[in-house]
Amino acid sequence: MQRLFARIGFPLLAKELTEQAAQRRTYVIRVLYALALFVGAWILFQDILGTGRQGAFGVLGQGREMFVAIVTLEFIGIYLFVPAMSAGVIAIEKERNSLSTLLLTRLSPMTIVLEKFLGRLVPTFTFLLLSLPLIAFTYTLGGVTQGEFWAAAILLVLSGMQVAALAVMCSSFARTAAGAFIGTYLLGVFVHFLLPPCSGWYQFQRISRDASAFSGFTIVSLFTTCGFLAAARVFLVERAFLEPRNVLLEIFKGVDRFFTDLNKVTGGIELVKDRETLPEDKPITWRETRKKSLGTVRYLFRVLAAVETPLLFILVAAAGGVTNMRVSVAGNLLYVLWVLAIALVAVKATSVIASEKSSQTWDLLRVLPLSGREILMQKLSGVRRLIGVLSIPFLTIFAFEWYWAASLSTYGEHTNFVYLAASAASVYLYLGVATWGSFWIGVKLRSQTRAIVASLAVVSLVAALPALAGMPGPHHVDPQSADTAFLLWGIFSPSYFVSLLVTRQFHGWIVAGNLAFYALVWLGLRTFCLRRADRLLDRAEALGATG
Amino acid sequence: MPDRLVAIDVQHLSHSFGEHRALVDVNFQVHAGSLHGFVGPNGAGKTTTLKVICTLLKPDRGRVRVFSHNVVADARAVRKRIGFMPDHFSMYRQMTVGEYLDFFGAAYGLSTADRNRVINDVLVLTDMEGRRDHLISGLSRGMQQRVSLARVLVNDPDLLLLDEPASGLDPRARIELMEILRELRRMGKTVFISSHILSELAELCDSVTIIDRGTIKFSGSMDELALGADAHPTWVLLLATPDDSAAERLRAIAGVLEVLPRNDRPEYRITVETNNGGNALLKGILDAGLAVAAFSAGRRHLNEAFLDLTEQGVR
Repeated sequence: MQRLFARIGFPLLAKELTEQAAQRRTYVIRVLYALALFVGAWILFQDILGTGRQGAFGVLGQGREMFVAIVTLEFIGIYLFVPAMSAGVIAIEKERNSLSTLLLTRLSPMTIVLEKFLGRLVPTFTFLLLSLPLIAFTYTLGGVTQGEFWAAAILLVLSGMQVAALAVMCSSFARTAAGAFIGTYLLGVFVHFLLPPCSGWYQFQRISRDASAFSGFTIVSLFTTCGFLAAARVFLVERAFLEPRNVLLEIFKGVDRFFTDLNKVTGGIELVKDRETLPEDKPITWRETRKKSLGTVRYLFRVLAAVETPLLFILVAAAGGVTNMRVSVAGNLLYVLWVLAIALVAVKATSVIASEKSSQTWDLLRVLPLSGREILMQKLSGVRRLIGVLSIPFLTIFAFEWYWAASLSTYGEHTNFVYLAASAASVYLYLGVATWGSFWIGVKLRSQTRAIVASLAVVSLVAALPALAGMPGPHHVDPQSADTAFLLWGIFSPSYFVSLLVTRQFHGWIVAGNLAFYALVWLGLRTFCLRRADRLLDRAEALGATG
Repeated sequence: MPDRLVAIDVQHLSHSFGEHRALVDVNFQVHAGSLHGFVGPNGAGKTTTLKVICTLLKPDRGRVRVFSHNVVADARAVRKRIGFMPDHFSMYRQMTVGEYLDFFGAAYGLSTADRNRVINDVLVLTDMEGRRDHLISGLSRGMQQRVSLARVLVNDPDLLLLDEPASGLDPRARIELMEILRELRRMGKTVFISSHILSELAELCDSVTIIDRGTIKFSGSMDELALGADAHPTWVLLLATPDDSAAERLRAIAGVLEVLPRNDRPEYRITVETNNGGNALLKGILDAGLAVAAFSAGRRHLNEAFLDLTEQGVR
């Protein structure tokens, strides 16, 4: 294959495909994708086939519903997996300092972009092919026209190309693979959810109602794909040699300058002052809380203000509304806050060690005459501070909910107290578990990008488990007829427990069981990491007495 | 040698990475207060040995001691006495030079007052005193290397383990680094330096260990290496007058293995079978009727020894 490509003249594409074939990760991702697709399909098929339409003839004509479900799963797969596979495609060359070598070859920048892009399209299309047996099955059941089949296939292919092109553009723009990865997802969310005409999934849902949507999307999709690739070509040359930057720190410093200018008006008042100190007796803590953007008091205060101000505004505005609206607003705010908090804590905790590895300062920390436990505890001090700050908006929402419930007398004083205590406990426990789990992933994986991706993937998977398992949301379950599955999900799933709290479905056993279980998980993870600290740091003394 | 005089004692050290045997029964000692060079081709096992000595890697077999402390059982005591400079820049780029050094001073448990004094001292030693408040990210490569060396010295270590400290430095920065290392030896520090720059090591080091494919090829003083103590000795003869038949007559002397004449002057490198001093050879030369202007032991340069002792090929 490589020889064939070399003869035709796609050396970079040949290299990309050979590299992918040699990497275990390629096969792991493909298997994971196939598992997610087939398990998801199995759950959906059970749901569709198991609603009283059993029997050989009973399912005839039901293929359309299943077809839509499979295509939807494929879209989700494209949006989740393609950025993860493609975001590093050029940024990694920058990290390895090999992009300059590529630019000096006879390959033009556009050829480099296109061959990199094609190199990522091949695995994307293998993902799409994986669903063929499932689609064939739905087609045999009837209810799906050939036109719909081809429309879905073309929409999926175009969406795959569009997302891969977006990832190549971000990769060409960013200095690091981590930056490209985050950028691709953020822009992806923007393009696909805020600009519906650009979203293949959205168009797929419209096809049945409006056939013209199909041709419209084809044009938009091809246009955006070409646009992303053209932008990637420009960035490839202009941003080939970038100095390391801490974008977050630069943003904060920009905000600093803005407030300093404002201070001329206010007479130099400083609400939060970061003293320019040197480390006292805990140097690693000092670095984590003074020299990191998400560690310093001043910058954390700004994060808090940025979250707390709109939150208070929305809550105060909702206070004037009817009860249902208040509950709904507070619940939605809680969901958003949970996503934000878990993502921030997971990324920060993962980066604690992974960033030391990528900046090659890992060995220096390991040879310090501090115990492994001391190093770990000091390294996590910034995360603890972040959790402290993030807990404030949570407590604000809980306090509002408690106040509204108390004023309504719908729930007893005891129930209100349990709600408040359980909600607060869940924040500290879940964020604590996320901290230690993400930290462990960051220690185990060599690259910071891979560690962050793995950590966020695990967190997302844990959160999505009840939905993936087909468990209806707590508001769809009648508390009186709650079964064992409801009880088990409530106890073991954090996302389900949060939903229960939001919808105020209190079950003593679930509250006690869930909090006790996660307290044990938190304690277990913490003890495991601290007891094996020297081993996690890969220090010689932890590995035995020889030598 | 008494234990107190040994800074590093490596006995039967072996280490493997999967199937690859990185170190095979490695033995050598480094005297306290010496400047010891550690040389070998790429992939010879230099960094692996250094990582074992500085407690970052547990040996599969063998015993390694630093100032009598076992690197595995007594790792913390070892860490207090060493300063390790890895082969890559290990910098917190968003810190100033002063903050960076203070960070490591605190990590080694120095009090604030001591840190201030020590940091001033190491900045003077590395000629960086004017850059205390400079951001590390803004420094040149040579300057960053000096900061790295200053960091190694912050805890006043008895033993400095330097992995390729001169790599990537320009000639001036390299010469200045060597001067700093000489100064450190004068201060009584033991310096263990892994490097590829043999010419500079030859001038700088008291002793050297040559490693190739995980095994030690030579370990001893520079004099022993130069005189080839464990090989056939070589002597250098300079004749008072040129003589066309001299080479032939020299080869005829008993015990002579090889005679290599120089083209530009009547000088000959004579390799003999056994090392029994130069007397027998000199007597043979005089008996052969040759007029001797100078006669001395032939010294091998580190470059020559390196090429002789290590195998060819890229690893």
